[in-house]
Amino acid sequence: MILSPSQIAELTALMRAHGVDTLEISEGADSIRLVAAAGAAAAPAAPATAKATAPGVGTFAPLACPGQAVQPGQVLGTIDAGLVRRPVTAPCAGTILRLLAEPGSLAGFGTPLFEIN
Amino acid sequence: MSIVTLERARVTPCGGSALLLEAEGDLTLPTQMGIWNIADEIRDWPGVLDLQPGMNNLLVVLDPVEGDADATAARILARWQDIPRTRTLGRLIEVDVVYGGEGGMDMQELCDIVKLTPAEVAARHAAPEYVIFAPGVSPGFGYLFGLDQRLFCPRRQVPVMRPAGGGVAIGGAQSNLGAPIRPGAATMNPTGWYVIGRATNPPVPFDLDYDPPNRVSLGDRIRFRIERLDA
Amino acid sequence: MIEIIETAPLNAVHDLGRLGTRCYGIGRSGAMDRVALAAGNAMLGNDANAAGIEVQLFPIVLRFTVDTMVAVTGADAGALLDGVPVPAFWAMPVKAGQELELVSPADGMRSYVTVAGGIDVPVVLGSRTTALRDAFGGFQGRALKAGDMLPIGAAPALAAREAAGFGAASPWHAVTRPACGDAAPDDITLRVVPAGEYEQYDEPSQAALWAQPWTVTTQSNRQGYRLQGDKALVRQPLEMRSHGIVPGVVQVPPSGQPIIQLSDGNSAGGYPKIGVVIDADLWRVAQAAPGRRLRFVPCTPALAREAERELAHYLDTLRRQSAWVRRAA
Repeated sequence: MILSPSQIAELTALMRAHGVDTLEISEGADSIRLVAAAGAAAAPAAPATAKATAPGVGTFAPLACPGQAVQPGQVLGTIDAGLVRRPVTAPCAGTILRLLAEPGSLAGFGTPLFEIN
Repeated sequence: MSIVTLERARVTPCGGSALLLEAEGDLTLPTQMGIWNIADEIRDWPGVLDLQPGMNNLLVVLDPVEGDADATAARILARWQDIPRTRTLGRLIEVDVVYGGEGGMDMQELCDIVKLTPAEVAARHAAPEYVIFAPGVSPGFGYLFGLDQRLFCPRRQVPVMRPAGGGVAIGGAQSNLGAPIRPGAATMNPTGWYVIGRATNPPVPFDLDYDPPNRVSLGDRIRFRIERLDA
Repeated sequence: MIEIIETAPLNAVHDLGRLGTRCYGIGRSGAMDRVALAAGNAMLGNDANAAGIEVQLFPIVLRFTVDTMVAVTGADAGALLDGVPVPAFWAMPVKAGQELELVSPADGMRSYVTVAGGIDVPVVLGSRTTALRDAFGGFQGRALKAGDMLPIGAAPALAAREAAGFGAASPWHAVTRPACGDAAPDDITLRVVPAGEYEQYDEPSQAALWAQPWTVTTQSNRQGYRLQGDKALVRQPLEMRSHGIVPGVVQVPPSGQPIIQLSDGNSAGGYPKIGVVIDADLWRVAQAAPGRRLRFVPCTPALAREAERELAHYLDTLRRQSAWVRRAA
């Protein structure tokens, strides 16, 4: 296949953002046709967001705050258990929109903690 | 000048994991021999990390977790009562000194305090045979015992910077001799002592190419010879 | 190897210091904040006494020539790994070619960079610590400068469960703060065992030692900290016999304003000593910047030993728990 699922997701988001409902891409003998579901084109042009999640169980301690620009892989906060702190990292570059959990709250594996623009 | 003298020996804590044994009475050579002897024994006691003889005193550094300061203090004091106070002294080192002048920049200041002339200070300083009593603040000849009482002089209230390398100085009831400067080492040192002369041929007391690196030992003797007295 | 790309003066290689050398007139030296150095080593699974880089003047920029794992502990100096912020008390895998910069601490004085396997400079008189004044030990007996290449000791290849590494609770959070009734929250409280000459101070001076804050002056470095208090410590002038002194000794020169002797302090001296800060609290002193207020709390050798055990427990626990989030690469 010429596109990975994440690339398809990215293209779909772009189509929605720009009100495009059909997209055809071909490369050599392969071709792909993306069609937006009915009504999708009418959705508001919301920017794509990503979430930084907890790597395991522990107490959430944020290090970064909303409005802060972050780099991919940057440690935004920690999940503390005992004396050890595991990192909550930014999945992509962007700006922190908001915290999704209270500082000091208990988080489990995959708990979303930051929303990033 | 009044010097702290204890009627009875005591051991006091230096924090949680070090002890200071201070001997009774005046500063003497037999007492120091007792200090060297007890240091040799304590070195093998459990929980002892390091030892440092001073002037009729001994610092014992303990392991902060394993060492038992209270029990060790009692044991040191008990052993001090009957430790032998005799020992053979070491070799004689002879050192030529230019007293006063550029190298002995504090001579006149000391003369003013002890009320002697530079010639008298030099003669009295060069008369006795000194004994290396204790390690000093850097690798070298340590603290020397044997200073003429007329030359006792309280340390300065505020330390001053003085050139390193062969300095002959007086501080309190003690004298010392600075080691030659090692390559890369500091050329000036802070001191509260009065530098009255400079050795022209000091031997090297410490050399890392040797194991152990010390080329002089506690109990070695030093005699200063007046090479010249500069104004 | 670790290449020094850029460094402020007076940053040097240290381990926990030199023992058994007092007979030569050589003091212990060693890291000022030994807990931060030991914490870094615990996080990396190193020998507790492995050597690291003590950074006391900023900035410093390091480049790694091999893939390895490093820890940055002590004062939070706003570390950046290839420009990406690194949290305080943090261990992480690094790739050959990556650069670590320690910018400047907002709080605290000294940061430590440790590496898996330790900095492998030669052991001189039982230690890798730099004896700066006597010019031996550490890296060529001197402070680091740009262009220096520091060898790294052998260590098993390590990785962390997460690529970004992991952190540790700092001793400021994990170790009990010495209790001092009316100390301000920002005051650094220190336990002090009264020393030989304590009884010779007049009663107002003894009271002032415990009751008043002592401000760290700018005349403070690895040799010692000069303190300033409202009331000076008063005592009959007496000439002391020179004796060995340990880091932590609170000496009182004739001015009556005390000096705490520290890692590179003189190994012997003759000023009277009113007390000694216990070993287990010296790491706190190491992080006290000029202007910071210190408060002294009376202590005994037995209580000092308890404090030392608490520190040992913190480091042992950190070592064990770090192993859970680290794995062989």
